[in-house]
Amino acid sequence: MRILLAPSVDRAAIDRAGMEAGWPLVNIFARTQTRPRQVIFGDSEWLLTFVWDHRVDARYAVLDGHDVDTLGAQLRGALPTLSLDDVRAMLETDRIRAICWLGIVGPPTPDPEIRRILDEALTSSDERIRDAAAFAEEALDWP
Amino acid sequence: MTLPIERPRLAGHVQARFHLTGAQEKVVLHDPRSGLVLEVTPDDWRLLEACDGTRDLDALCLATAKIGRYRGEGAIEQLIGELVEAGVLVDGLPPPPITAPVTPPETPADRPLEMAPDYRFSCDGQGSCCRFYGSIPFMPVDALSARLHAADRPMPIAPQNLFLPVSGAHLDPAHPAVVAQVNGRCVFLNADERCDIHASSGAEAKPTVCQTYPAVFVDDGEVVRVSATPECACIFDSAESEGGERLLPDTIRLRGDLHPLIAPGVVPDPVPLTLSRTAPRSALRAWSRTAHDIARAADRDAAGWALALAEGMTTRGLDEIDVPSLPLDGLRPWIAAFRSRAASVAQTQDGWRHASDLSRQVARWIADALDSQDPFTAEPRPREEGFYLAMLMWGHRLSTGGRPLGHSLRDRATRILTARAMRLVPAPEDISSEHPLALVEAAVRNLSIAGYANEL
Repeated sequence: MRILLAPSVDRAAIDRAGMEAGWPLVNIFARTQTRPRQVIFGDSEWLLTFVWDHRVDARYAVLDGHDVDTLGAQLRGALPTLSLDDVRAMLETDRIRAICWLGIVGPPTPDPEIRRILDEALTSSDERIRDAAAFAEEALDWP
Repeated sequence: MTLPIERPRLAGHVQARFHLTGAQEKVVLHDPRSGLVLEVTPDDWRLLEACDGTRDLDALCLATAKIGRYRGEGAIEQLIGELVEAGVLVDGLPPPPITAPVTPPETPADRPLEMAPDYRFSCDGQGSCCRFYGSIPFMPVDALSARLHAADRPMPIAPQNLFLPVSGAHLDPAHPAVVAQVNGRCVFLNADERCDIHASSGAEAKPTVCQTYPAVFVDDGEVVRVSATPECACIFDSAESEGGERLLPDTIRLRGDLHPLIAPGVVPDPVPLTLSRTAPRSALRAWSRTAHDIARAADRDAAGWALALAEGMTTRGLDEIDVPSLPLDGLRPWIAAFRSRAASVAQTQDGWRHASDLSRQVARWIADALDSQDPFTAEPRPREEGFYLAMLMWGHRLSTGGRPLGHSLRDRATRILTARAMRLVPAPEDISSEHPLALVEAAVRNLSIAGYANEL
């Protein structure tokens, strides 16, 4: 599960949420040319990886574990997040960024409407829109 | 987020001391170069321990998380930023030590110890020395024994905070460590003002430095002079009383009999007398023996005599010792500088020490006495002041502080006058007023007043 964080969420907000919720910090990966910066909380049951994805100017959390729904609800209660509907609404005002972020907030199984948006973007005459769609395709990793 | 320096490390000269003050645990960082005193929390100290010069901000986050003390990247960044600004953190690992082409010779193991003549010491058991020194170093085996002792009984301070490094943030088990304090008292001083280790396991179980206190060792090239550091009332009382014991057991007669980590001070050769005049070390040996005898005779004003010796260093060098005292007016700039420094130190101590802390009380006593009294009109105490100078002279203590002998003599004359002023005002409730000179001497070293004379 991935949860897109609002642009206002910074490291201090994440730390505050982590301390209030008791998330143990377990690792930090610095940004490299091929890897975005990651700050990882977790224990033996779950991992919560916050990603500063500089390639698409996004901050999101990747949730792993056998009860990610509970963890996701806790995260949404602690930090401002953006839903699929929020990103859809951005398509009108900030199209390139919104297409990229569809790759983050899209569901794990194919969704016809998103599929249509991405197919259309992949044939766009604007190279930036095509690149955004390619990123989203790769991130969604649908069959 | 970023740090002002990439990989912070507590500077090697900074001294961290763990204190329980009232109910508050704190680590006090003291920068002896600047006189700066900073307080941090025990959690902050755990972070500083992790600041070993190899960890960047991310690594510090992880290091504190690993020990369960992570409070957020922003908190780390803020603390590091403040400490960098205060000048107590440096960047990266320390540079490798440079091997000196010529190293000073070590004191040979067969060098005899020469004890202060006609002096036997009797401790009054008041625990004053255990209540005043901010840095009581335990040898590695002493620290281990003390930890075992602490493990068997309730202690006011958690085991991991009982010892901190002598300086810097890296506690090396092969080197001495400094014991934590409760309201300025050694954590092992019990409610009966007795060393709990001594009470439980006997005198031989006491830490090495406590067993050898108040003995001080200085190598003059022929012998290691052993004197009593005149920093405790019972050291003065012992000079006037019968009985007592040698400063060291009869079995300790050579340098090699001392603990290997006890490093005697060394008299430089030649000995600086003034900024432009020196004398051979052999001449100092003779001078200090005669000066000791004159000082013990106590037949002249000790402060004025010390000043006369200092004034004569330029012209007479070490040649004339039996000289009359001089009027004390030449010490007015010294007293002014001492007064200023003492006032600043007292203010600092008031800021962080508990009201019952002996160091705080003494600092305030000194500052108030010099602020309200004229030390130049106060009555001398010839025997006490003579003994004071005698011990310092016998032990070559005026020639080992890195300053010329003349400077040290004026400094000690200033301390004598300060003690005279202290007798004119009431002593704090918890303190024996009998020997304020002992407290001045201890305070100058313990509370970093010594730098007062740097500009003179």
